[in-house]
Amino acid sequence: MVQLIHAVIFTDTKHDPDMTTLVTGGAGRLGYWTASQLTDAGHRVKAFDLPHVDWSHVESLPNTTIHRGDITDPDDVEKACRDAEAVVHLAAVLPPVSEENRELTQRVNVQGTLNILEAAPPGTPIVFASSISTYGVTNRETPPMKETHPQTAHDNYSESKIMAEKAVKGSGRPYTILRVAPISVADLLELPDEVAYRADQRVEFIVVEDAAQAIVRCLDEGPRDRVYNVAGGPSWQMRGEEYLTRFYGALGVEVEPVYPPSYTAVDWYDTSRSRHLGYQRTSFNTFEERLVALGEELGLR
Amino acid sequence: MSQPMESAKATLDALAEQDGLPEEQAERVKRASKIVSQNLNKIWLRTKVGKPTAESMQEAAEDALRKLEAGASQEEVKAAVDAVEAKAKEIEEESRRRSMVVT
Repeated sequence: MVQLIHAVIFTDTKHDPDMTTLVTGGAGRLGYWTASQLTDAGHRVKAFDLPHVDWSHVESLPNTTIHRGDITDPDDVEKACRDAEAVVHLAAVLPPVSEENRELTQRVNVQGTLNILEAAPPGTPIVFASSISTYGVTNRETPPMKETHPQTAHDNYSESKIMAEKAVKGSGRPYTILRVAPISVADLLELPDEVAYRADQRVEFIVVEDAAQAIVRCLDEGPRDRVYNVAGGPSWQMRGEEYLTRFYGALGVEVEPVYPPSYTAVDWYDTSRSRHLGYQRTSFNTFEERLVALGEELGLR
Repeated sequence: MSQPMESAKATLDALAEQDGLPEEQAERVKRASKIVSQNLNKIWLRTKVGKPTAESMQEAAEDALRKLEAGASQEEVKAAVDAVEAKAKEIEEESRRRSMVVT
């Protein structure tokens, strides 16, 4: 009987592979991979992003319609939301831009989320990409950080994500909130003038394909009004210096990173709650192997 | 450091100082030079994929300077400066795309 009730509740909200899913921020790295994995699974995707961004990758995806618009414009959002049966909300202003312009960050990350919540058809489930940076600077604490850790608005970005999470939770819609770790890609990335974490700082990243997989699996299991940490897992837990040494070492590049004087909001995360989604498919060793292959292809090794 | 990018920077700086270059175009060349300067140490410009881009930046800069020094028409010089600007923007965009962002 208990099993039957469980089945009824979650069958109602489960994502039907035939559903049309709106992916905001659909032309970004995570948006593209999410759309790609959804269409691979036979879903229809509406990709929504700004008109001037690079759409070339998304345009090649099957069963994907392109919606050029601005998340801060209610009319654009309303048009994009029409007929959507589920929403994956990724559109956001990220650091460093978020830290240069609080007003823009609020408008996009908070008001944009409110626009989605307002425009999506009633009952439409939403998977919202938040961030582990909402836990604040935790280097003095004992890792790993759990979903129950208090949130701290320590910069414009984390402030906006905390506010948007609150809006999603209070919307009355079925939701899943994913607090996603910093995203890594097996590509040649340029170091910033100053790295975003200290050499001795605990860091844990997640490869973009696995983060996208977590989103797809959340839709598959149906929204449960839950919050999940989404991070790479134990093989990705290391110190900042080790991460950069292994990343660029695999590519065959020597770098001289400049580390910040203070600890930042990156740590190790408890992903035991989200692990059942089966998204942690890429170990750091596998990731390194991809970088080695890329380094050879680019003539760096 | 990318040798073609260094060469492009030197050529653009020389071009911007030329008397025959209209002020508006000199400003655009200076902006392109600044972008080149900011990207001198980018790793991707030293790869098989990036080297052709760095070399085409160098070629665009040399072409613009050569045209100006040879007394080419204003339209031709302007087209050459347009090409310099477009190439610099391409480099800037690709570097932005490849920046390691932590959120």
